[in-house]
Amino acid sequence: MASEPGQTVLTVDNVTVELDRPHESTPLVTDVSFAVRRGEMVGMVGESGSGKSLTASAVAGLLPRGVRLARGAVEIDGRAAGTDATARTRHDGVAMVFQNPMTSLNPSMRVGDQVAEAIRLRRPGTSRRDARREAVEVLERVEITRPAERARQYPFEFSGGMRQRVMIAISIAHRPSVLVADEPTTALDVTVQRGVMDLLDRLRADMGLAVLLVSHDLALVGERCDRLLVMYAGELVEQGETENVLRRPLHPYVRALQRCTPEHAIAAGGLYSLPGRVPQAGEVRTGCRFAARCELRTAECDETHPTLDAYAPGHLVRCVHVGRPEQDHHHERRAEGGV
Amino acid sequence: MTEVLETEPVRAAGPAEPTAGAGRRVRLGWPGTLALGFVLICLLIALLVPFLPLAEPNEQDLGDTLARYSADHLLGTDQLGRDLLARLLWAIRTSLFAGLTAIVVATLIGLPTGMLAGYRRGWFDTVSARIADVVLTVPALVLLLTVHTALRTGITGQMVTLGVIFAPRIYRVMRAETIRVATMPYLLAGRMSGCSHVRILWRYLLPGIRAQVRVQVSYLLGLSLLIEAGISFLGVGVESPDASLGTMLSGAAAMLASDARVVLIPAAVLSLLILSLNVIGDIESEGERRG
Amino acid sequence: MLTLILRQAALRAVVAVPTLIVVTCCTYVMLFSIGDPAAVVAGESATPEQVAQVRQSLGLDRSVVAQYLDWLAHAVRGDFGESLHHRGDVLGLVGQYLPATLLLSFLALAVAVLASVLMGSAVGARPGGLVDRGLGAVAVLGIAVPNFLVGYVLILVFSLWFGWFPSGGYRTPAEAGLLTTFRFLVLPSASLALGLMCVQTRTFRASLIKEYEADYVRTARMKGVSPSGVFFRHVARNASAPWVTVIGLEIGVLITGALLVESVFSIPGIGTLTLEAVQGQDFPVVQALVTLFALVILAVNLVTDLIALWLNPASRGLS
Ligand SMILES: Nc1ncnc2c1ncn2[C@@H]1O[C@H](COP(=O)(O)OP(=O)(O)OP(=O)(O)O)[C@@H](O)[C@H]1O
Ligand code: SF4
Ligand SMILES: [Mg+2]
Repeated sequence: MASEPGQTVLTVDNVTVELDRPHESTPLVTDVSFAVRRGEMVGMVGESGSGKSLTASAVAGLLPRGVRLARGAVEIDGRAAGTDATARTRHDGVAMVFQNPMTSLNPSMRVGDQVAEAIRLRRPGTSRRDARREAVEVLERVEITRPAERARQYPFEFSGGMRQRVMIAISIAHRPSVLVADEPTTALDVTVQRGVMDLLDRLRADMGLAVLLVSHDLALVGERCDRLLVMYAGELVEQGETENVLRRPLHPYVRALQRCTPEHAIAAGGLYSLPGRVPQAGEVRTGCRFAARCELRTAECDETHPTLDAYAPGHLVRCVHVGRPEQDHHHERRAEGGV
Repeated sequence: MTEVLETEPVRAAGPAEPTAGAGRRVRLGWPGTLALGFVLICLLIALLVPFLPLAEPNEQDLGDTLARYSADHLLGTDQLGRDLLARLLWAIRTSLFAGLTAIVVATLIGLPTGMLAGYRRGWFDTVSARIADVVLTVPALVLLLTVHTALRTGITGQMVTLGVIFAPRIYRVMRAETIRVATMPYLLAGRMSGCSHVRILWRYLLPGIRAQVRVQVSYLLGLSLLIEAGISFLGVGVESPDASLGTMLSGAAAMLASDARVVLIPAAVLSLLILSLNVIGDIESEGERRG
Repeated sequence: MLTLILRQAALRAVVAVPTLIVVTCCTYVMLFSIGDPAAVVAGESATPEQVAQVRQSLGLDRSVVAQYLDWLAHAVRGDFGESLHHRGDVLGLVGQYLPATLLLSFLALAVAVLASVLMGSAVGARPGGLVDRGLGAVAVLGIAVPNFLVGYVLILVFSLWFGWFPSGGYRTPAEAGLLTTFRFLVLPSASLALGLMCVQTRTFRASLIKEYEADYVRTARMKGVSPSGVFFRHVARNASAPWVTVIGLEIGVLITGALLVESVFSIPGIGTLTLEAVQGQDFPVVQALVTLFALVILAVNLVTDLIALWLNPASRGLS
């Protein structure tokens, strides 16, 4: 899957997002690093509040008010993006699709004009008419039927799935090399979800987009993504090829998470729910952030903050009890009793 | 003028559903405390003014007009030599009583009709809502002037009329509140347990009403004060020698040049009263702020 | 879009007709059935027989329904009858007093609209600042102070102290030239505009703040729209809809205000005519004026609703 060679177009290096308050630093996202190659779809999963959206926004340079990019750098197409410390100027070459298609479009602007605006901003000289014509083409590319007619309509005349397609049209109108999709299908019906995901997949293949797909849905990312990033309490805790992360998860959190999925519940004859909750921002300082909920917690876990280390090439994990294969008892234990 | 009082536009922009719930607390803050204090003082004055050792408010002394502040006349005298302080305090009484009359009448009409409309729905609801719409189309002052043209009633009659004109506002609030409560599950549950329906309705409505009382009374009282001042200023409200905040301002343009104090003092009291009532009405309940 | 707005316009105009009929009918009954115009015409010293005679000659002895239908039939043709006191027909009389009021109201409206947009944008884009809080306090005050009192204060300061503007002696543009008329109207329209301006500023500020938080603003930023582009192309339009609606709601207040302000500045406008008619019990004139006011209010509301609809097409989904 990930074996197809693609040049790295997105590099995220030690990105740290903090609350934007004058005399304190409460990190919400801590030292997140990863890279995405051309034509690759990388999934980012994690519980609610784990910092997925903030990471995604930092990548796109669209951090909300109230937070700031404290450290780290984002590189797109080999160029440093976001010299602005607040990361509130959109980065060139990135586009973003948001979760709620019902509110992400301007209610009082024709759909075609919203796409055309993006086109004209990319190429300032473009005439209004040319931009409109091109907008219709882009709408066609996101598989909106009768695009010329629909371009003249307003968002309220579109269904949720169709609006999300418009949103995607707006984002690809930039001709970005990186597309960040923050839960693009969460707000949609299951039947509509598939269509939108198929579209994203196709665009990735056709345009060679690098896609960062944020989601809650392990099954979805398992099906669509080449690689996975798992966030916990503002940190990456595991990263690797989808196959490896889902079939042979290393981090106790990911393994617990796996047991939460309906598929697994059917196999195991009951839904496993993870006890406890994600620590709030600024709550945990020393030791492993997952310790409070971890079955394998030892004294060492409370003392040292584990680093994200390679367990195997391309498979990284943040756990004091993994990362060193020769000492990895629990991993062996799990392998023996494996499903 | 008090636009907010007249139409409450900011509220009107959204649905005016009162979001009352039992046990909401109101935090006054310092502007609210000041406002409430001022209104209470004025109400106290209104009640006590006949017992205060004041000069006769309508007694003229043409030898002592536009007198400055003195021990005899704490605020001086007006252009006809009447004691300004006595007139001011009596004016507060007249104006406040006039406004309260309007509110009592408005409540007597609006409360039962609104509850009935919200509870029964059906034709009564449709018809009464239409009537309310029509009454609210024409500005209160214009309606009042029309009624005054046909019927020469005194200020009390005018304020009763004003109450009728205000009734649709109370009606609307009560109707919305009743609909909200009547469709709540606990009311249905109460019906199951065989309690008297109307009694339950009333019990659950009461907290909502209580939450609305402050808002409605302060807005409508402010609006009545304004309208009383308006009609008396135009010379068709409180009859001339009697002092009201409106009559004290009537024909005052001429006084500005000679002694502005005579105008500015009642003007300030009237404005402060309306301001305070607006502030009290604007205070958000805790529940609303969170919502 | 245009056809939709036109269809809405027609629909709402049709809905407004019954309202207008009910308003005029109630007014008519109040004035001509509960009130007694014949007694006014006959004069105070008239005997009951004389009054009865006048009543008969004016057709006021017929059933009130017949009288109202008669009035309505004439009114739709622009014939509002004759004034009891003035010479000539009511419509001519209204036409004589209308220009001053129109000029005053339009000036006030223009000032309120412009100032509220400017101030609303200034504070709405950056809420919570010192300017914002200052303007907020001023707005609360501006809303509370009755506009005829604002008029007094303006006269005191700008007419008596500084002597910049006259406080009375209105003359029409035809008599004295446009400039003189405008100079005279500065203080009256300022007093009339103040309250409206404050309400409008508050509304615009509030909806700007709300719109800035909307998700589509993030989408615009994602496209790379500049901050000014976000304001002008996206936020301002959406924030304008409630603000326009408020103009419609406030028009009644503007009319009431004009009545009082005209009296303060002795402007020979509709307010003056109304007051005269009310004091002199000039029934046909009062009837015509109430009709006029209702008509204006309904018309302005219709127009503002349509503008709001045009500004925010999504609200079409509701109707
Ligand atoms: N604008 C902001 N100001 C302050 N705190 C914020 C802001 N946005 C997010 N946060 C906080 O940052 C943390 C991470 O938020 P984020 O939205 O990235 O989570 P998420 O993983 O996307 O969750 P979800 O799955 O619910 O979307 C949360 O604790 C949230 O409360
Ligand atoms: S470091 Fe310890 S507490 Fe943290 S995940 Fe690993 S085993 Fe669990
Ligand atoms: Mg999120």
